[in-house]
Amino acid sequence: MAVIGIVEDNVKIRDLIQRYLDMQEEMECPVAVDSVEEMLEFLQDHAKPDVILMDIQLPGMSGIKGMEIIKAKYPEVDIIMLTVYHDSHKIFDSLKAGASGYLLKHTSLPEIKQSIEDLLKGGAPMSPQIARKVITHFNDQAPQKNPDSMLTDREQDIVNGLVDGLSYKMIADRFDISIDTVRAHIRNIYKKLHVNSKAEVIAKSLRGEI
Amino acid sequence: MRKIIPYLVLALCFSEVLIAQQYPFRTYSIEDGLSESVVHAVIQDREGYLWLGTGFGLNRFDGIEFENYFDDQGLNNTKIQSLYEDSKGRIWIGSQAGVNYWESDSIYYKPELSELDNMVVISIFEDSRGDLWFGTDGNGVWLLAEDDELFQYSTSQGMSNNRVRKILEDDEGTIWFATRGGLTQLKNGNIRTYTTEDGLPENRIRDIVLDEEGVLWIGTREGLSSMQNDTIFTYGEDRGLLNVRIQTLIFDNDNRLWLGTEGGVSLLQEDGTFKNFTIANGLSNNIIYSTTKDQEGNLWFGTFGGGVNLFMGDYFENYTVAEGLMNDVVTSITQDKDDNIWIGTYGGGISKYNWEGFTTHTMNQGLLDDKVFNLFTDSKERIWVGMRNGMARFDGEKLKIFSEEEFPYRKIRQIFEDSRGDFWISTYDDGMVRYDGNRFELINIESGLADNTVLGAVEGKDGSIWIATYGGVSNIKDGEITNYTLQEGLPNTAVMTVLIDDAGVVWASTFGGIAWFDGQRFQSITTEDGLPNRVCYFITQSDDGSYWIGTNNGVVKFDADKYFSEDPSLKDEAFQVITREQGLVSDEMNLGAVFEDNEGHLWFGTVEGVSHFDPAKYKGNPVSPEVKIDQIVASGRSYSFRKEFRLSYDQNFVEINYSGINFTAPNQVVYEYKMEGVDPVWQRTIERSVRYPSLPSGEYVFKIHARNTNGAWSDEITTTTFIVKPPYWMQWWFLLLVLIVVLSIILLFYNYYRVTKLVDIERIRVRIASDLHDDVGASLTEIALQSDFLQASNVDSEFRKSLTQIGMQCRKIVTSLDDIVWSIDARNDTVGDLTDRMQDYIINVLGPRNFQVEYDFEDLKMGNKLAVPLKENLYLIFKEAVNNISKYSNGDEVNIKMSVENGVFEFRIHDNGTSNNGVKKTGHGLRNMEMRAKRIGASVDVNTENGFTITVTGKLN
Repeated sequence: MAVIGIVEDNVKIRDLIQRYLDMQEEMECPVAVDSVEEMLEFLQDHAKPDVILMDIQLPGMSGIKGMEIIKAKYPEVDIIMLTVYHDSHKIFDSLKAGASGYLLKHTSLPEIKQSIEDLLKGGAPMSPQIARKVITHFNDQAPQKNPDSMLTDREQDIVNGLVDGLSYKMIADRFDISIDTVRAHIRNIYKKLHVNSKAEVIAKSLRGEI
Repeated sequence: MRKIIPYLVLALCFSEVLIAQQYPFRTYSIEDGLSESVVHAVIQDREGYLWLGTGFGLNRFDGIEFENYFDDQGLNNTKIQSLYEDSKGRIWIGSQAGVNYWESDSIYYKPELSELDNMVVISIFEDSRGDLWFGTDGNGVWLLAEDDELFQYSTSQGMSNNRVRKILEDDEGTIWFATRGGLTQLKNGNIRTYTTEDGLPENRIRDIVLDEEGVLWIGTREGLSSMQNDTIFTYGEDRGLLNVRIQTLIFDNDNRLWLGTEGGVSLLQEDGTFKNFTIANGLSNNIIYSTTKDQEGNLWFGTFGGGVNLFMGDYFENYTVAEGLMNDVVTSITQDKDDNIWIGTYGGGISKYNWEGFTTHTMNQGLLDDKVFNLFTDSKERIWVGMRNGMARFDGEKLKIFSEEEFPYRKIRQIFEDSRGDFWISTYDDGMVRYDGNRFELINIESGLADNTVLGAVEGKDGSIWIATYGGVSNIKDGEITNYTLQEGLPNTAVMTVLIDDAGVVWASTFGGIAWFDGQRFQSITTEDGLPNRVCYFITQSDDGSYWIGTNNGVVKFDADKYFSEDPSLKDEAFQVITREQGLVSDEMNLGAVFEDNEGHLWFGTVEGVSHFDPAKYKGNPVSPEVKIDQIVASGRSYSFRKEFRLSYDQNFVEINYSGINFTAPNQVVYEYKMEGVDPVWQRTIERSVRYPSLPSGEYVFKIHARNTNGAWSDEITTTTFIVKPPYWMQWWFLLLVLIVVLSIILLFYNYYRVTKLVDIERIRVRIASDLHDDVGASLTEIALQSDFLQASNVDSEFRKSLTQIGMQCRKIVTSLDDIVWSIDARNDTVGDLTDRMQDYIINVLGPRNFQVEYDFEDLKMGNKLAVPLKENLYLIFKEAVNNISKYSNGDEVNIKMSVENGVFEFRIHDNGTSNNGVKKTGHGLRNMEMRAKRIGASVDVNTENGFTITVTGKLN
């Protein structure tokens, strides 16, 4: 039974998603709140959800900031960003902050469910826009980063494929691997993205910038 | 000093029968700024400055001020013995310890002359070859040749003596040395000496000069000698020389030889006798040490302890109480048949001068009153005396007193005899009394006279009598009285004298100027016309036709021809002032106190004595002064006028000091200056400096010239040029800078305004779109999710279909809104953003359709920015095209290519579908694409060969 949490300030949307997910046999959604602060409160003395759907624009702390905090405290929690915008900058920022994937709010409920299931299976969605940003991000980091945080050749191949507009299936075909492997690679790429971003955050905080 | 000394001298010489008249000597000594009163050497340089070497210090004199130089200024020694200006304008200074020279404005030392450093240099001379000779006191004479080699000539070389007091060269190139042991001649390399054995009266020679005929004149301790062709003739006491110890010799402009001796100054007159001048005649000291003649022809005598005496000529002889007058207030002068001069004084009776001494007529000698107003010699050689208290007459030796019974009028101002022998007696309060020898006839205000205070009368050419009164001029013609006052043109009603000139013109002198009668009315000449002083005590005319006007500030020589001349420049020369500076005994004249004697000399009665003046000898001041700009001080800093200089804008308080050197009448120099651009016309002043408090920036030319007492202007106008730099904020580069900055600011503001306006528009656009998206999108999302939720419950299939439709429609609208927000959001402005978005869109739309999509973005620079409209429209065209493919294409391949070359982009979307539906149905879509292309200035081309190709071409910018 997957436990899902929702942070979303639009009550109707939140309720619909919560009710829909609760209806699913293999999922339960015990917590649906409208701010990061409430979610953090909940996390302190409850079982941790497997996945949190997180809106970005929230009253109080922003979703991106919230993600950083939650990921820092509970690295095992996967966070899927919910956004009204199909905006690659925001999406990428949230990915760097720790999101494992993103969903547009108007994504249909079955698709939301599917994405959660994919994620729990170890996959992660990555669009060509995001892929291109991933390449740029790692290229910029390249000189000073240790090899561990660099993309592997295979990961690089996968990202390039995504940039070229290939679907996961096409990538899997091209490199003769399974789709799940592709998803796993992508998930790993996200993790590296988080690490880099954390390092960046630490460096910045040392320099007193934040 | 000048005044005191004669009094002291007179006190000593009172018992002497012979009186000594005062001559125009002017003394300058310590009180005037001279560094010491013993003047060993005096010269004038080519610029006009007088240089005086004293026992303590060197002096430069410009007529007004002395500049002193001592060892601080570079002199070897402050005891100056000799001065000489060479042909290069250097002034050589011989002192107690060697030689210095002055050049430009500093004192220099010449190391080549260091051998003379411990010698007393008493004479300096430059010969015709340009070699310099230095005569020393005891070490012979030294020759500095052109190559700076120094040779000594002393007794060892045959010099008569090693003390060389004067060196000169004659026309033949022979050098003559005046020594203490005779006269030495250096001729063609041979030395010869003349001594007493050759006929000299004495071997100790102080000075030698050459006259125009080449005669050498030798001043010795025993008289003056002339030597021509080795023949020596000596002039001594037998010729009237007061003192035979001659110190200096000089010729004046009339080639008369003047001797400075140890007993005064002596002039060798044409008859071979001497006329002597001593302290009794105005010299400050009798021991003469040095002499020179200035460019104006004045002689200077440096003395032992009395400073320097300037002798301007013997045109004036002055007589005061010191010389034997009973009183200095001289009111009237006349001359008797024996040429004696009678001088009437106010308070001292009458002094009679027989050209040797004075005899006195006062109340003690039976005179009615010692206050004499007038002396008049009538046609019978009788001398009338008008006094403050009555009238008397000398009939030869006999004195006739007019008793109060006989003649009741007391204050007698003037007695005049007309051509008929009638006397016109002017009285101060009672009007005019006409006396025919028997009867007195009173003419006063009642009779029609202008005023009862009558000061004089003259007879016109027509026999009418012109009378000066304090109420104007009255004319009595054939018993008719006509009065002339202010209305008739007189400058002032108080008329003091009237004059009939050579041409018969009537002149009047008044308290407000002079006037002449044109036959109808008087024409005035006042200070406005150039008359130097308004109070005119008298006007008279001398033999040469000149008019002489007595004023409160000297006598004015008036040249009517120049005054009435057409040439306005001559008008300046019409009035010449003669004051104490030129030797007049006093500057303040007395009413009517002027007399022309039988030699044509004028006598001027003043409040401090009487001056005897020879107009023929007086040449005035023929040399016009050249103006020198001494220094220019700008805000406290001194600048040399010699070269153009620049002042900064805040140094614009400029003071210019200048001097026009004139020794004859230094205080009568009139300057006329003009600062181009500041002074609209020439400005006149007697000041020797002018200030300009705040000159604006610019280039200035200061011009100045000067006029001497004769009215002669400088030959050249002196100019100096300087620049007051504009402040940096006035200079072109700064103005340009300001202009640029101002323009930049305007541009900046304009751009800022434009940009903010654009940004504002953009912001509003984005906000409207975002708000729309957020609010409407959220609602639509709710609906979509609601429909999803409902689908999840048990509903029949028809209803489920509708629900699916609702959800899809809602999501489509949300996606469109999202696209709009994305496309106008300036953050997503790179080529890469666009292609990413396109790929996302393809995946979303064509993904489920199994299209093989190929992208060709190879040439694109993903980081390049795209203008928002371009990005927006290209994306929307792309969406339209992809939607068409999605809806209508039956193909399975899509090629998307975007390329940029030379600022032109080409965007091609191709699919291999062949269905005609695509063409038909795209009608609306194509128009839409064309409209969007038009917005970005691009063109759309549709090609249906080999599938379906849409090509958009346009410029990036």
